[in-house]
Amino acid sequence: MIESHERADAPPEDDAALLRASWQEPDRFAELFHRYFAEIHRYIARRLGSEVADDLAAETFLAAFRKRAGFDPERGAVRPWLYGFATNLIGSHRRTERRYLAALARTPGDFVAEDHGDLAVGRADSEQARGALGVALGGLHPRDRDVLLLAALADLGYGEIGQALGIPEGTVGSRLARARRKVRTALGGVDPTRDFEE
Amino acid sequence: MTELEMIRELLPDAAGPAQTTIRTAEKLLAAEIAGGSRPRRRYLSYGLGAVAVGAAAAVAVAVIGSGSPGPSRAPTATGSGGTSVQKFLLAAAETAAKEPVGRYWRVLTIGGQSYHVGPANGGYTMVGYRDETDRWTARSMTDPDTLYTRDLGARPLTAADAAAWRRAGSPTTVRVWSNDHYTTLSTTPGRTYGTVPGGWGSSVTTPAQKKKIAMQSRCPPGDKACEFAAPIDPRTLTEQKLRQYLFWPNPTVKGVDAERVLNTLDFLTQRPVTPQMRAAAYRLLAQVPGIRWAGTVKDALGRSGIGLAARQVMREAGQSVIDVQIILDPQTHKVLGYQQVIVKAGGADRGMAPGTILYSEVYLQAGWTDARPHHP
Repeated sequence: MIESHERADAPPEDDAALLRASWQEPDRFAELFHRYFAEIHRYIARRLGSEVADDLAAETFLAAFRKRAGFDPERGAVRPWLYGFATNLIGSHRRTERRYLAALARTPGDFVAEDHGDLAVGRADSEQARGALGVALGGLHPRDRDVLLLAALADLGYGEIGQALGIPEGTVGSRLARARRKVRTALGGVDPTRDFEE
Repeated sequence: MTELEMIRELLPDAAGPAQTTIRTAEKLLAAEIAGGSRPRRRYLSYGLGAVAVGAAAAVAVAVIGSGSPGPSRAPTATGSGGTSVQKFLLAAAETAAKEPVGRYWRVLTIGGQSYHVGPANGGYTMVGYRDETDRWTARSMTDPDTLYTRDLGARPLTAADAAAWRRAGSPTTVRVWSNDHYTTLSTTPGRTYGTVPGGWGSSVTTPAQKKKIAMQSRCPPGDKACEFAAPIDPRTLTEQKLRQYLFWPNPTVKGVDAERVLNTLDFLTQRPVTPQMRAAAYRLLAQVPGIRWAGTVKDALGRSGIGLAARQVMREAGQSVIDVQIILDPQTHKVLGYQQVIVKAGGADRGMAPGTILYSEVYLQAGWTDARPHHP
């Protein structure tokens, strides 16, 4: 398979430096592909299913490669920048996403019925909660859903989400708060007026 | 359980992409990189599978550096040689402007990369990653593009290298240092790690895929960096844009003349553009500051042409000094070949005498045709 070009005794090259080098040596971009393709694919697969992810993950890297000169290291890191391309592509599949979420909502799942003392979901209620969550996510404004899912699934911080979506950090916070409030409201049993910002 | 945790369970993390998915995506990216806009060691990644990107990346580390200008003794285009350069390229532009267009732009080329085998004082030079590429790019967006490739296997560079190789027992595999790791070249087509199969393989880009790529390549208005990185759209290309593209980042930046020669070579050979734009590319090549007349030069097939050269220091650790040469047919002005010639070998290239062909491509064909896509 792919031979690694990073020798164990040499520190791997910084993402941003690699990207910068790929301006003049485009082949270097392949290394970023190796670092992040699986992760980006998994993220898209979680939102749209693995079949769609096969196409969109590949397109994410094509789009990022073509626009690589637009990457500004002053504004952040390569990883969130890649999530930005993935998010844009997901945005062109909104109907697919809503269908996917609706299908998930109908499928029996296995929510853990543990009580964390926060948002306890009894086993008896888990199917219902699952359905409600799917519906709630599908009903979010796409802008809010992007922020919420980047936080939940991609493990990006506010600053990184802001970089990925090209919005200020404060806006990330307010969108995330709004999205979480809506989801909690849909799940019921929670005080919708409570401020859930972390 | 918080709602974020519930979301993570509703949308569970899967096993990740299948190997075939990764390979397909790599192939697409490799083709994009190979057809992209910046200079590189070319064609090593076209239409290849997983291993291709690895090989292309490996070889590409040796790509020409842009940081350090070549030795100052290299003559420039302003001397008497420069006059020949101007005259020849203006004639080339006139020829190009009159070329009739066809349905497909076909480029049939053979490329290969030289590696030194054995000790610096002795040994011989083998050419690896020799591949033949036949690329048919349709003028119309509604016709598919087709790419054929095959690996030709490694072989000694010159007769003297062949003799040394035979003295060494005619090994069918040789271990060579490639930028940052050892790689093994095989004389059997398709057997070198990271090459295409020995037999012809093909890949087709459908009109739908072409359209998608064109859509994705659109840049926000005013985003100069994006515009540069985006592939050239032959339908909206202007001479102004071409100048910007060929002289990237701008004509005053020094030490990147060889890259400009490469940009122009790529443009002249790979793009289905109008005769006017091809003519403009020849005129712009004459304006590359460091370009000089190299006289009659033979390409890797032994065909004679006019060589136009620019000097460069390799970026890799060895810092070999090289000349890049574009070889043009004296009559038709078409591209016959491109090569990188050792001026002073360094690093892993040590042992290569001045004049050794470090990398070469020959163009068996680069022009319009109305034939249906097929390989030789």
